[in-house]
Amino acid sequence: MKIKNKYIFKEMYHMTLSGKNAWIGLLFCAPWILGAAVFFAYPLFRSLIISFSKIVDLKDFTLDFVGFHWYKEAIFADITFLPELLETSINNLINLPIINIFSLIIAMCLNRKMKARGFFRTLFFLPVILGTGFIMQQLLGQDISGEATKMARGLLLPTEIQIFLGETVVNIIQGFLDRLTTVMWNSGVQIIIYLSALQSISPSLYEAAKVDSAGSWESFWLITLPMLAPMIQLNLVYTVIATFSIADNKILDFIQNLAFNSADPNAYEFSCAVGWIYCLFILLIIGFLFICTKRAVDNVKE
Amino acid sequence: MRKNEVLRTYKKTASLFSTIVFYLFLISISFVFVYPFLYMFSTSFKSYGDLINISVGWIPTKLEFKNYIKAAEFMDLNKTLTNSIIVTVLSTVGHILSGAFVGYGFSRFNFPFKNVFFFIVILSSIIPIQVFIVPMYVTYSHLNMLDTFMPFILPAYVGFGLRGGIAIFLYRQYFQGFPSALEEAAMIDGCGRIKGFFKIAFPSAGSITVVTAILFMIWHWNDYYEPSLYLRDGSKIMVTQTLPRLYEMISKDVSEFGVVIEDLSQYHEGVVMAGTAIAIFPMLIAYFVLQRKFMEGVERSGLVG
Repeated sequence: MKIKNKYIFKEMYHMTLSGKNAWIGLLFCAPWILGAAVFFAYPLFRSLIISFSKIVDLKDFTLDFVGFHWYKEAIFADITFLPELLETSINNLINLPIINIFSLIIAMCLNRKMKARGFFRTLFFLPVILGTGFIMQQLLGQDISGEATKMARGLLLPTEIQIFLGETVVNIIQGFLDRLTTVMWNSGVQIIIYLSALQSISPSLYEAAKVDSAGSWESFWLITLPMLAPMIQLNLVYTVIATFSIADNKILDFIQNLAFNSADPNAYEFSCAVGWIYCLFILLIIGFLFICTKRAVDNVKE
Repeated sequence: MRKNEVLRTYKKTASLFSTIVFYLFLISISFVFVYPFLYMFSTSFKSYGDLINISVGWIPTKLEFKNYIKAAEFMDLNKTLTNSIIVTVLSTVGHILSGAFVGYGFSRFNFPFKNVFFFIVILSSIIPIQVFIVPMYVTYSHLNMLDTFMPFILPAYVGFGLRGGIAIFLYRQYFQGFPSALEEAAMIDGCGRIKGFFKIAFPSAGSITVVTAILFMIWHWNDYYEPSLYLRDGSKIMVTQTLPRLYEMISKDVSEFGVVIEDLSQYHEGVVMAGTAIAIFPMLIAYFVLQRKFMEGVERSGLVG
């Protein structure tokens, strides 16, 4: 035994530096690897298995393999899933550019030299802190946001102008305004990311552009926007993730109700399958965004 | 000369005008952010009479502190507050420790599958918990962990749980920008890697620790979804879990009878808002106390990169 230990020690001793470092790195990641196995890989694997099978006996959790049955059911037979998925995704995809443009504007405002900057920043980051929870969802859902938008409507769009513009135009504008509160409350993290990105752009670039007689408008399109490309990509992806996993999301509600409040004995399997379809759907959108923004990001890296 | 003067005054007024417009824009937007809080505090001090009186706008005629007492009673504050604090503190500490330790490993060393592992870190904070909530629930019930705080605390110490991957990500970003020369110097003096982490790297990451602490504290405090599944026992519930029942109180009375009955005046919106204020009050305080450090940390955190 002793000799064997000595041997291992010798082996360690003769290891290259990079080999040794690899072991130490693995040691640092060991807790995470353990956690990944127990709290991530195992449940995901189980849920995948369940989604492909039928629970015969709930007590022992014996499963019968049924193939793509639940997936087919969700896509072709269920009447609520697809329409709700469509509604949620259209809604979120409309919000996606609005959130990003809005938070970029706000970040550029906060990046200017001005009075009471700390005060405004504190206020603008409030949603990051408190907007995530159930409480805030309730507060915002309690018709408060409704009232806020009503006020915004009245301020930005007086009745006289509404009458003048005609119904369809007003409806579109009002739809936009109604969206605005949701957008604002969902853009806290994005503002932070844009703000720190704006601060990392070297001022000498702007000075050089100024010497070449570029106005602030040109320098925005030719310097700020291209330099921000990686952060825009990150923010787009983040926004998709955040809006698709928000607490009052209809699909997530649907999944939860299936899993825990349904009388249907096979709701467990069905909810797992729906969850997987939803997950793949989100990953597809993210992948698509990555491909679309890849060229702009690569340009910056060069 | 004259022309110049006119031009100068013109420019001055124009810049003044644009400044005013700029501040108005910021103030109106910040109003949208503050509005729910103003509404909450204003309503929480209104008596039932004030609520149904249309002429009472933002300022209640009389400060009704009874709302807070009633809400606290209903929420069983002694018990739920203790539970919430235990869960929040223990799991936040877990997220900080695991995030720093594992994040350090990811930033300093090269090992096989490192990129795959890091991809999984990101993935674990992307995939909504609802996707694998069923097997999670079954696992915890097999381990006899339902109605205990273990489902929140245990994953936090291994970098999972509520968005645990984000803590690892934040620390990794920081340590990648932190020069390793300091630890190497210590290693020459005979300091081990792990000791180097605890003595040098981790204390240097103070700003990230503040950011992580605030974010996870608030996420855990506000979390409703998982507690509502794992904690069913009345003596183990957290503060946020009592709120929906408070909300139900007012909606039920109206929907069942359609008319104002006595119970409605017992649990009116004022009480509900008082309860809400109680529930977010600790986090508001924590945010305002730590916000300057938080902002510095966010700016320095290398969220970018």
